[in-house]
Amino acid sequence: MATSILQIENLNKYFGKRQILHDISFETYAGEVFGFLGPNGAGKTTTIKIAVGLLSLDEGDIKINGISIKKDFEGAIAHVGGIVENPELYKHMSGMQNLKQYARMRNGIDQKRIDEVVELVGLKNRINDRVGKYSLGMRQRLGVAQALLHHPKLLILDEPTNGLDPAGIKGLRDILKNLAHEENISVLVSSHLMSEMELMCDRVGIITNGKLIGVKTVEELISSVAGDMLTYKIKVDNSEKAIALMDNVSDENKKIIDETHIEIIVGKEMVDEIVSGIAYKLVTNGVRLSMLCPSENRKLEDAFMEITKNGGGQIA
Amino acid sequence: MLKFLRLMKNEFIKLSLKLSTWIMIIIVLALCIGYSVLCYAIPRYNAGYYTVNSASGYKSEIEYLEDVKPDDWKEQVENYQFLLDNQIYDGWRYGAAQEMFSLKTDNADKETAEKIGLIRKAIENNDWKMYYQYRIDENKAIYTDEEEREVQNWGYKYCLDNNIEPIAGEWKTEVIDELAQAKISAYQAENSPIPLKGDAEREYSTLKDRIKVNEYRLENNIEYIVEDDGLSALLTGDFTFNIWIMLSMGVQLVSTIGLIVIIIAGGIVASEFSAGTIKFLLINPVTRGKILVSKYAVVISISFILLLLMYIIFGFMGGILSGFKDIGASNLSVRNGKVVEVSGFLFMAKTYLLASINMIVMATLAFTISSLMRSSAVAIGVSMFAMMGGSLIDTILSQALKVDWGRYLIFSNIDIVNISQGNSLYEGQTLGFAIAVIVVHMVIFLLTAWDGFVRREV
Repeated sequence: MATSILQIENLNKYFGKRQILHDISFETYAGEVFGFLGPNGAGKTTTIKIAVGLLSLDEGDIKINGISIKKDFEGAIAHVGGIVENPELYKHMSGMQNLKQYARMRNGIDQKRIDEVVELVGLKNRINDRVGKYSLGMRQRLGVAQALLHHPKLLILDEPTNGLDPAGIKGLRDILKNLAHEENISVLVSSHLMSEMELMCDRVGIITNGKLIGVKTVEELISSVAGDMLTYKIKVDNSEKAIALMDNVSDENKKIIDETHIEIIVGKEMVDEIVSGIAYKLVTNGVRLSMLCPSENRKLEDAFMEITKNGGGQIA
Repeated sequence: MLKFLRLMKNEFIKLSLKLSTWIMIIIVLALCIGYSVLCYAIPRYNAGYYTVNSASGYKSEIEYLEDVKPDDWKEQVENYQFLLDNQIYDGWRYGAAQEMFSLKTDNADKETAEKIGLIRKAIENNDWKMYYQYRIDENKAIYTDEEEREVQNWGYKYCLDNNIEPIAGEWKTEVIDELAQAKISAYQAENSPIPLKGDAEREYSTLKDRIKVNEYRLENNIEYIVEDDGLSALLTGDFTFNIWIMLSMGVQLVSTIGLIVIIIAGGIVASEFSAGTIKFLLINPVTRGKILVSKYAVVISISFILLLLMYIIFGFMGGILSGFKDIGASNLSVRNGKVVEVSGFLFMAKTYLLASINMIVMATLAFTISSLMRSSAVAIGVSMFAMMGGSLIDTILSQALKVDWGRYLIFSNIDIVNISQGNSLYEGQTLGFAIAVIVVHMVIFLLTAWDGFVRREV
């Protein structure tokens, strides 16, 4: 078992009389990217803010590298680097001047380490520009650099992909995966972008209405919802004709999306037989089959929707 | 401790990289330099001494009398002619001539005629010793009480004993005259049937202190003493320009530093919130208390740095413009019945520090509102109003509304200098009370700031 870095124990939080967090408990380990998923307003940011000391905790405890933030805040936070909400750094200062500010607040960071981190996040050429001139992606990178300065054991990023373009997201994802898997850092990432998390995370905790519903690996999560069924997308020249030919799939498991697209759900153990059967039938009956493939991008999204729909779609 | 200094360094760097900080500081420094030149250039009566009498004045008086011919015009013309002939415009001879004229008016008996002759001779020979000896002899008859006679004769005797010729406008003569007067006033107060109480008592003790200081000046031959009289000098124009008067006039500008410090104090916490940078500040391994204290320490340090800068500018400008006249002068004050000599630089430094109390308190208020409301506009607005309008509020409450609880407000206690001199708007407002009120306010401000910053959620 990997070393446990962040331990959240029975966390309760109230804003006035309203309970925001209900008994949240989970752990993250060194060397993994932990995804913290939930719809807007579920309590992700609140949990993270408590973990980094921006909010107080009402009940429970948080331990970072075994040190309770209640008992030794400075000692615990010394192992954490993070970005909460937007990467809002000092706009009137350069990237380097910003990093030096944070370096002074932590122990044992020299210029060499700052340069190293700048290199890592790929800001070397723009580090002396004013942050006010940075794009969001560059600010996000600077935020990550700031979080990594002091070799933290735990890196906490709140909605890090917000507002980033696909290239930026990929760049960030590679950095985070590398940090976790190569440098053995425990990375906690919160997001409501399920497909993104699926590519980035090793484990996911799902939170809704202030309650943690479950912590699972990505594979477990998908199979727990989808079970043994797989979804296939089919593109033909005539949906009506094609669907009539699929007599080996029951009516509730096949549906016409539009004139040329059909979606079917098939059992895992029968998948080869059924799919090849459909292909053979369509082609031999003169239907032009141009695509027949498993649907990828719905996996985690569906799992997530499935799990959180208990909330009835109302904001808690 | 090292980490705390690094936190302070962070705050200084954040401020120093803001253009607005430098613009404000440059404006105030330019204002100080301009103000120095202005203070130097304003019209003033040089040397602080002048007389209304002149030869042309006497002549026109004589012409007037001969023209209008009032009752005793012949006698008056004769008197003016005497003053004119002997060129008597001021000093002991003027006083002696006046005495002689008053004796002359009566139909003189033999004794009086002798006296007149003696005074006339003293004047004509410019023999001050003869006149002073005559005054001492005269007092023998007037004052039967020996102690009183000694007091009355002190000035004459001092001049005679030390062979100091009284010359109008000469500092020593002026000090002796003032001292002689003060000794007489003090004697009268001591022997008055009315008991010394309240204002009279305070006046008496001030008088005693002045006597001690002036005696010390004569003993140690000290011509110029440093005093905090810049404001009255500005208003009357009765001053000699030197470094000390410049520094004392400069104290009036300390509140302009107050403006800068309030703007900085009002923004130093609130701006972190409005820019969102507070989150990055607080997820560092530093407790919030340390961050807050480091920010406050920076506000206070900047106050004192600017105050020192202002002191240096006024000192430098005053020195340059006056050719470093009286640079070695000291302030004299009486402490525990003894005259204490304090170097002018130290005395002025104390004056500047006392003048900065208002700014420090108001900057603390701005700092508190800043961390409580997280809005720099409110913090700066309220504090500036309190600094500028404080004395107005004080006056309205105490003079117009005549409410006694006004004495507990910070505004009625902030002017430590005046209160220590007994010039409070409230009866019986002591220095100790004022200091206590200021301390209580500061503690409340800082605890509130602490609560707003350390215990609140972000």
